[in-house]
Amino acid sequence: MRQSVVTATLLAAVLFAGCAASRPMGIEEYYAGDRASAERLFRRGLDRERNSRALYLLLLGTVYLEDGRLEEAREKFIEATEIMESFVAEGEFAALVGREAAKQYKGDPYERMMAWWYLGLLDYALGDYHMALPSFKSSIIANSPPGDEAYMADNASGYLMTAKTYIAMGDASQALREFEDALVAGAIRKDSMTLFNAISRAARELKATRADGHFVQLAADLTIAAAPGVVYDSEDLSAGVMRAGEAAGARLAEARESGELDEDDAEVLAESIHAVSTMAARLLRGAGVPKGGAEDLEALHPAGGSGNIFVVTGIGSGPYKYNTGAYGRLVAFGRRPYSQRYARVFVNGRQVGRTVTIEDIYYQAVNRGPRAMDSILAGKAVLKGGLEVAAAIAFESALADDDRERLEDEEDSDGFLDNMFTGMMLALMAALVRPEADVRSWETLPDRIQALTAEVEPGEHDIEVAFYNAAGLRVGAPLRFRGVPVHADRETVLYVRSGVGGWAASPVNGRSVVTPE
Amino acid sequence: MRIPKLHLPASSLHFAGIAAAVMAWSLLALGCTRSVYVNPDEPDVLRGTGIDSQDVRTVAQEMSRSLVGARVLADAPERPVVALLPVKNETRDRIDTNLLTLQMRDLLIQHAGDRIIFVARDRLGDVYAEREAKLAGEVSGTVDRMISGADFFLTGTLKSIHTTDGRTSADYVYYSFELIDAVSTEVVWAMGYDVKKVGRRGVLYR
Repeated sequence: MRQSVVTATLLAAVLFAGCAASRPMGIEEYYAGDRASAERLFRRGLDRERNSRALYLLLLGTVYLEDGRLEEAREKFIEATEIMESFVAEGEFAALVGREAAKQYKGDPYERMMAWWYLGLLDYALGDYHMALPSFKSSIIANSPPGDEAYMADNASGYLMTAKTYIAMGDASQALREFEDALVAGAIRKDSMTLFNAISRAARELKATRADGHFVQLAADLTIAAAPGVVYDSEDLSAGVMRAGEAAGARLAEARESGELDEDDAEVLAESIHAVSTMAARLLRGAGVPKGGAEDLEALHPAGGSGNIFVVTGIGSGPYKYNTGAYGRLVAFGRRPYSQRYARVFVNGRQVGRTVTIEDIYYQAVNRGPRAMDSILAGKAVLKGGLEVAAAIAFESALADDDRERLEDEEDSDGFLDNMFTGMMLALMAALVRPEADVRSWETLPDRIQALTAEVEPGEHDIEVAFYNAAGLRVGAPLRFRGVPVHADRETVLYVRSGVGGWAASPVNGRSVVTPE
Repeated sequence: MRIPKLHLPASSLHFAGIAAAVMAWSLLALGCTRSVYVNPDEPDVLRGTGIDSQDVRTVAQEMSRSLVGARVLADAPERPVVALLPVKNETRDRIDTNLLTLQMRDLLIQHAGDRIIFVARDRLGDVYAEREAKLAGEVSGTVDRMISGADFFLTGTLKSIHTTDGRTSADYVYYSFELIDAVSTEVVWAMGYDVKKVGRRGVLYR
């Protein structure tokens, strides 16, 4: 009977702890192509989940953006950015004492960056350049690293669109300055810096674990191995990192066997080492991570009347978050597989070019740097572990008391009740401590943003956008836009999300919007 | 008519008390969702460190005050004609900059309407249509005056610097307004106003 009480108490504590909240509803429907259900669920989330309002606004905004409902999309992004930028936040106390997801969602830097960027794109497509400019500037700021102004943001897409907006507003000299920044941002982002950031992150994680001095040394080795590559040669860097990665892997295996590290920490380390080594191996193979360097951006240079059609594509499925580490206190980013690599654009059946990468959203997500909340969650995980152990000891003592009383045929003593009460209190407190990290994220973002500019004769044109895989084979049916108005002095903007939909918009003649047939 | 006296058991009274308290609380909570009028000169907590209504009003008032006293208006032999040009917004804030020039225009007309004339260039299309209708005899009235040319353009530029250390963010915004001679391009009056705001994010968002 008393054992049943203990079991019931533990079960209640587990149930009380409940499930971590959670990724937004409607995502599965969205990726299954059931857009009506996805929209309905996003609307439901908007009505019901007060602290996730900005997130559901972004999710709905994406649906409207892809369906060519530009004004509705703009409305949603405006409200979302207002919430995300406000210093007022709800649920902060609840998130500190309970689960992090109780706080008001305001997005990671990459999400804020993209919210502003999409808002700017809509302003730009609709000819509201005076609104597009602050939106693109906010997109750059959202992604800027804190601290010294000498460190610039690396989202080339923000600088590029700022430059294009200045061109549209007739300020060519400022446009060229912004474009230079876009090139620098593209260069910063290209391979060696990406790897350096990933290694720095891995090194921080190594240091953050309850590891011994050997691991701290390995972290330092990784950082040193990465440092020359930033300035000199990415091949040397990759080889150095791979060697350091192998050494770290071997040391990790030893530590696992000897029980020096607990499984959760070992798992985090293994993931970090694997991620860094894989990236280094890709670099050595010449694959390059990620695309979107300066040479790609050169193709979009706005000088000299670059064109009157601007095609923007969203390719693949962007990053999503999931919990990892002890009690899910860490956030890791996943990415759904996709085969599209670029798009070709045809005007009246004639190819005018292929798109190049101007933003790598997954890269921006994984390079966000540490958060103050990470330390809080680590502390909560330690506290929860301690409380669980203490509760288990109390329950064991209660059961031992019970057994002793039965063996010795004693009357009921206070020992059992005291220990049970203590155990229950500790189990309850353990259940209340929620170290799991918030994994809400804007999962309907694409993985990459690509773009193309082209110049065609003014008039109405049939435009087709087709996606291709790495082997150069067409993926899915192309999107055809009939009778797209193109003018000599104002860009017509096309936005196409691979495998989903899109629109073409001209800011002239009452902002005509064309959706694909 | 006599009203019968009710004798409720104590538990019912207790329940009724709780229900009344819940209802009162609900009403209070509902009351909180109502929109209320606030002073536009109050700082806007929702906009963070960005431009808010208080800034717009202060800038418009400062600029108008300075412009009323400017020699170019005071010494002008005839009332000068001023046209508004769009204000360049190079900050990170999505604001309609017409708010600034419109407030300045309204304040200037209110306080110095006898010394300055504004022309509504943004309504030129409607004015042309009305003139054509009058000339065609479709509507009453005559076209007995020319469309006024501007002596000066009133315009401005907003620039900003944003800095952050991840915890605290600061925005410095500089508002520059100028009166430009519409013939010679000379800047005959200019004034600047700057604002710096600092905000701090909660620990969960750093």
